[in-house]
Amino acid sequence: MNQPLMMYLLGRASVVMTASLLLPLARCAYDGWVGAGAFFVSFLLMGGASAVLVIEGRVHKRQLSVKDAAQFIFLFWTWLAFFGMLPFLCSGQMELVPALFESVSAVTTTGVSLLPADAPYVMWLWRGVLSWLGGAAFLVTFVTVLPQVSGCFGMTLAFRRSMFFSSMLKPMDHLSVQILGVYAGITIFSGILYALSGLEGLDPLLAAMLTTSTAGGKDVFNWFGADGNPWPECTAALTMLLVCGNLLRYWRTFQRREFGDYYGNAEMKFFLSMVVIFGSFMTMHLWHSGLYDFSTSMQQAFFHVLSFASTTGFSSSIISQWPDSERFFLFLLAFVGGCMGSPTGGLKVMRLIVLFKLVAIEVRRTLHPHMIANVVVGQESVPAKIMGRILSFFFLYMAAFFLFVLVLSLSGSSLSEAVGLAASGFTSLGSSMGLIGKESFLVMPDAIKIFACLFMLLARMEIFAFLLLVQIYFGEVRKKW
Amino acid sequence: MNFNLIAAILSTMSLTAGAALAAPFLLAVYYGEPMGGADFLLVMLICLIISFEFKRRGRNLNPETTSLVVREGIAITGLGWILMSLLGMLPYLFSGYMTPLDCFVESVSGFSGTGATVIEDVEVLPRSMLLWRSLTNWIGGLGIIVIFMAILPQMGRNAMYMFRAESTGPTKDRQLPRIRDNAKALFLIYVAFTAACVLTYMLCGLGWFSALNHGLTTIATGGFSIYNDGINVYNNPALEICMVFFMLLSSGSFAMYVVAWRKGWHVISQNTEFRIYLILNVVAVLFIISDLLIEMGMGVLDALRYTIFHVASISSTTAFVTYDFDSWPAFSKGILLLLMFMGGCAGSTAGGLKISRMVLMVKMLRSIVQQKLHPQMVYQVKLNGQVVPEEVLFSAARFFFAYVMVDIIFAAFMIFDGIPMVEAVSVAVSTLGSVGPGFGLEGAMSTYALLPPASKAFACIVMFLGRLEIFTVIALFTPEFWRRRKGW
Repeated sequence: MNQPLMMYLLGRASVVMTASLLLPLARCAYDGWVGAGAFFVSFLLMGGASAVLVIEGRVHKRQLSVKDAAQFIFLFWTWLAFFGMLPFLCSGQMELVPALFESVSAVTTTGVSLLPADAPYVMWLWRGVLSWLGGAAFLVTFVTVLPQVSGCFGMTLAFRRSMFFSSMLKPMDHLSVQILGVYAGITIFSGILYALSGLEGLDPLLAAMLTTSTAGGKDVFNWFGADGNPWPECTAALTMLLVCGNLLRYWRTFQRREFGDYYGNAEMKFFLSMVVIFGSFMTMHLWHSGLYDFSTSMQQAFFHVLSFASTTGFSSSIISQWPDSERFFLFLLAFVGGCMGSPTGGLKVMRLIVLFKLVAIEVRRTLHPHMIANVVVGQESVPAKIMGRILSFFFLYMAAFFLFVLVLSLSGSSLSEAVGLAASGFTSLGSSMGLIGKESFLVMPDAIKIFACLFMLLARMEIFAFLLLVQIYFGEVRKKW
Repeated sequence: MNFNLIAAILSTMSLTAGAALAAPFLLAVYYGEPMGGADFLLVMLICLIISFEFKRRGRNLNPETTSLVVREGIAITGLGWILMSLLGMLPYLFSGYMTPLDCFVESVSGFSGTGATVIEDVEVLPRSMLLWRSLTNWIGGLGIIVIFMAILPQMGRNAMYMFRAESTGPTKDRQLPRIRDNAKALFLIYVAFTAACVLTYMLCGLGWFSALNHGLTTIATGGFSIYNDGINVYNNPALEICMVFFMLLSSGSFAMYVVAWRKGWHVISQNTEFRIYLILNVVAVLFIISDLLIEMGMGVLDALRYTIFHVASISSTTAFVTYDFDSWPAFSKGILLLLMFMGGCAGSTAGGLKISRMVLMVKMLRSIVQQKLHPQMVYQVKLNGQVVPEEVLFSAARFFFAYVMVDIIFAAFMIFDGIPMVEAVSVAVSTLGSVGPGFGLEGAMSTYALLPPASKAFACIVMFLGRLEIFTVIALFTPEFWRRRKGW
């Protein structure tokens, strides 16, 4: 393990995390310093840790090997989770395991919350900040470390050869800045729109952070559907739509003024058609079932389709009362996710496109066994190696998901509830449990909560990094290679 | 697409079907069932007529010398299965007990080895009908094509395409140089196992008719029973243990048994797939027993008895049921669902995804991990001591994706048809895996009788997809398949 490099990278991240505490502190100041103690303590702890890390790690290599990358991913996410837990813990309102769970849920942009409804505003604000950081963390790891660690599960497809990934630090920094720039830009844009829609105080910022990071969650402050004001919903829908695209591609398009790029568009086209098809279908079905009139059906259907497809999970009506087929489709949409290079969860559209095309080719291959066929997405053809990787990733994802279901079912909930909970954690959606089961994570035993945390983090690391780590340690134990 | 050739072969198949029907017919005569006897006689007549009609189209064609293409092999297999299912439904139809759709579902359920019945009360059926039900399971278990090829001398080198279209598993290799010898060997082992099973059941105390029927459906891992309650009527632990043995036996690759017959027992213990299958069963039993003891508070002996039986029953996709496992805790049900999904070994009569594919995919993952860590390393995936080419790995993973997609589509269809979500998903997994029961409405003790008609019809398609491994059936549905022109 490359100690100085790890410490340097973690140190840099810690500085950012410490800085993020300033926002809740400011809010506390505005509130008359109520509840500021928790944040002050966290600030001191984190600030101290960052200082130590940065100082210790100032002499370091400038390149990450595969092992370094795998370790870094795991350490980074765990570090972020523990950090996020500090204010919750220090406030004295939550115990260790629920605080950890809350933090992990925010950081993985799942959006499941254990906070009681009457928790102080500053806690919700912190949760929003954490979610935003989590989304940023995912994007950064996605363009820097994940390509090395993840066995190219389709990333090189989405990002064509012009954007090459390197294991050197400087290029990684460049890419991170680019993608974070787009991320921040969308957040600010969204915040402005929310403010214009009628939200007040810090709410626009909070809503923007929650929406852009696709964390979402329960509509605690009644932003959507209140007083018949449709504009927050529209803003949310627009933001979610934007955020589902490939953020890095936005940067490139903007930078080069090329607006007719085919490759990225293949993904986005598929995503948009999926939204349109499912939205229309649900509109007709909801209207038909008599729950709402036509315009409300359309509004509800499209809002929820976008919400679930982007794995955000905002919900403006009681979807547990919707007909079964709607709930099943929403459940499935969560697994699809957005395009590669977005902070959404799920499998990612690109991989699904390749998988479907592979099946179509296979059907033709039963007739012509010696046929040589290529999968083409957009304008580029997919190399065989990547096809194999994507197939394996699908298997890995499903296997891990089912394992998660089995673990959750040990907690005493029924099978369908376990599936709902597992889906919400794994696809980083959060509201899937509202679809299927009524239970919240609150009543689960602590051990199960800890497992859930692990699985939520695994999903963000694309699971494979964890496998690599396991193999590395086993390899070292056996002293081979 | 040489339709005349296909017709010629189908005509012979028709004749064979007629011959198979002779057994229930004789039984009807023996038991003095006038209605049953007449029904079967009528069906046999129809088989003859159909055979004649097909022969007219396909005359002057000697199947041994006319060459087949892949496409025709698949067409024969697919059409042959559909033909058999249609002929097989006629006895039910003429007896007047069920609606036409139900008859078709029962027939397909029998041949595909699913074993989910739509008949609400089987015990009122005449014995000849019950025997026919069990026979459909038995014929479909090993495979219509295999049995066809084993008995009839005519196929020649064209047999290979048909054999491959029907056999299950990621690799379609064979043990003996001539296809016909393969088919014969498989068939002989199949008959031997069935005979052993029937005799064992009789020793356990079953009457000869019950033993025969249950023996037929056990080795075929179908699951039809002549009693509404299944073998629960006997409440005989010795019987259950014998059943477990035969169910597990039938979940091993029959090709492996052929080789073991020639080379010795060590072949079986060296077969990775079968070993893993048995280990999975043991692990599942351990997990479920602990769960039942802790969460449900069942007594140890009871838990042992029910768990072992149901794990074997479900993982072999037979699905005989002695306890309403719908009342088991969620963890146990989850494991059972997983077993349903995975199924038995490739080349056995069991359904499901097949253990060998799961093993291959896990090994594929491992190879990717190794490649990431050691990019210069050459890593080969091995199964049963043989190197597996990359294409086979890919095809196993592709099949997995297609399998999951079919499950999802079928479940979505059923949900749309009005079936609750959990039931729909479990019925989907169970149908595609040729298992039988699901959870909930169509739970352990229930049947397909409660499904709405559209879902039943879709279920038939899914049962075909499961038995013939999806891609073959989908190919049949593409218009490109049926074009007359030689060429693409």
